[in-house]
Amino acid sequence: MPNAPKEYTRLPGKKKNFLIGYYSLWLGTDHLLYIFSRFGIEDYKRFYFKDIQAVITRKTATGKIQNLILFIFCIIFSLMALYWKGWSVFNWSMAGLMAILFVINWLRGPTCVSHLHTAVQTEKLHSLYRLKTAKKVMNRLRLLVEQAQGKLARENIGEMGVKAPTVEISPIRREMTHLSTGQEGMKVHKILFALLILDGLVTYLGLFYNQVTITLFGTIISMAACILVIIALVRQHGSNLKSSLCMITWAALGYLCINMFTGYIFYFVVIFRNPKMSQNQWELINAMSQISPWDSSMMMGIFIFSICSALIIGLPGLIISRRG
Amino acid sequence: MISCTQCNTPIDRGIINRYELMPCPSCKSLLRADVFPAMFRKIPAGKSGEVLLEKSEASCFYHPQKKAVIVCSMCGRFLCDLCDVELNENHLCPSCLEKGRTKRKIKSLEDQRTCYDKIALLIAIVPMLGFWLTILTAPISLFITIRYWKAPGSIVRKTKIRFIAAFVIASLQIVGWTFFFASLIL
Repeated sequence: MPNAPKEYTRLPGKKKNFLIGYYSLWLGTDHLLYIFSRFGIEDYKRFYFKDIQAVITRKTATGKIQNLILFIFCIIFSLMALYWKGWSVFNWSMAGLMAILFVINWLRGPTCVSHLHTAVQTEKLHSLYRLKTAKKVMNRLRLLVEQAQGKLARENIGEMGVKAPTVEISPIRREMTHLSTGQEGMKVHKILFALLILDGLVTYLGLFYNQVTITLFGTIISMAACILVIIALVRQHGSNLKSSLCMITWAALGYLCINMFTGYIFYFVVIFRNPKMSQNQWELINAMSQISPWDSSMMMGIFIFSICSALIIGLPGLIISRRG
Repeated sequence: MISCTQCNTPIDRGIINRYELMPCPSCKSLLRADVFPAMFRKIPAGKSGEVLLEKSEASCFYHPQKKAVIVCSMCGRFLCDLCDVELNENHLCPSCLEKGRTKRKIKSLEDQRTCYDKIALLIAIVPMLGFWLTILTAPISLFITIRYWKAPGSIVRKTKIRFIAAFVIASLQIVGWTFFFASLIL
């Protein structure tokens, strides 16, 4: 008995969503099928070849930022393995893992973002995340769409311009679209990343100067950053901000949570060592600021982690948010 | 209007259909713009339907005061220009379109599906991380496999391999627990 012909052919590219699910693209006889799959539930979107107006692919810096972060983490774990003897196996393993991920990411090539335009919608094709994949898919898709619609001559573009007849959107809706992508949404992000850089610098100062003012200043900056990261995450939810910026904001949340947690552990360690000071907060803070990271390899590791993480997250985040 | 996805500047003619990355004149981002004739195709204006002038003419089922121009491919009702929905070279009435979507009679309108084979396989495999959970999840996976064996799976994959794998894994887990409890009793 002959096998039934395959209705859909899978196109290269698959992208995991941030927390759950993944995107994939399939080729049908007369349409493109875009699937978002999570926990056994699949959402389908069909784009008929005769309706596709344009596909825009833009190279992004996300791949480079990922490579930079992986490389820096590899260096951090290697340094920690060299100077922190107790955890050297773990640190070397993590350094090795970061190195492998770096090589894999580098080999996969630069990243991109692709948008498909029809008369009624513009859809971001998440599965076309790597430039090599996007080129392969587009070279294949272009032929099929041209079979359905015909080829567009260059002189026709000049005559008609690139203002396409689309479904008329009401002025209110147009204004709302503009607001959701506006620069106002990124102000909080810029302040957050600037604070993270400042936090990194203050922690660096704390390496050499054990003073209560530096400790207090660092604590205030951390608390302000915690508030700002929550505001930034709320603002970016449902907005049209770049995915790289959203990703770095989540990374900032992760770093701040770890920072707060280690801060609490340190606080309780100081209380256990100095039970008499537990009634007097000022003496406690003084005692905390007097402890030098040079006396303890664990403290030194935490300081290095804080400085590097704050700068790794803060610098690219500020650059991306300033680019707009 | 198509524009650069970074800076929203309208895309220049020189970048279109070059099939390679070209810099945006405004923000210098590298772009590839594949544009097709549909971009310049005029969208036909919607019709509201002609008013019925003579009683001898057929009228629309949903708008008795409007003239029927076509028959629904699914139910045979007469439709005016306003009610006529063209889909995949068929003409449908709004009611058949809605039924086609909700009851999955029109495949091309289906926008979501629950794939019980994937759910059964996930429930069979994931709890193996905390092994003791499988005592609860193995029967659930078996139940889902048997109960939804005939339910349609993913529209892109028409095999039962996941159901079979879930059945085998869940069965092995149940057999394992049976032996475990038997050894405790004996």
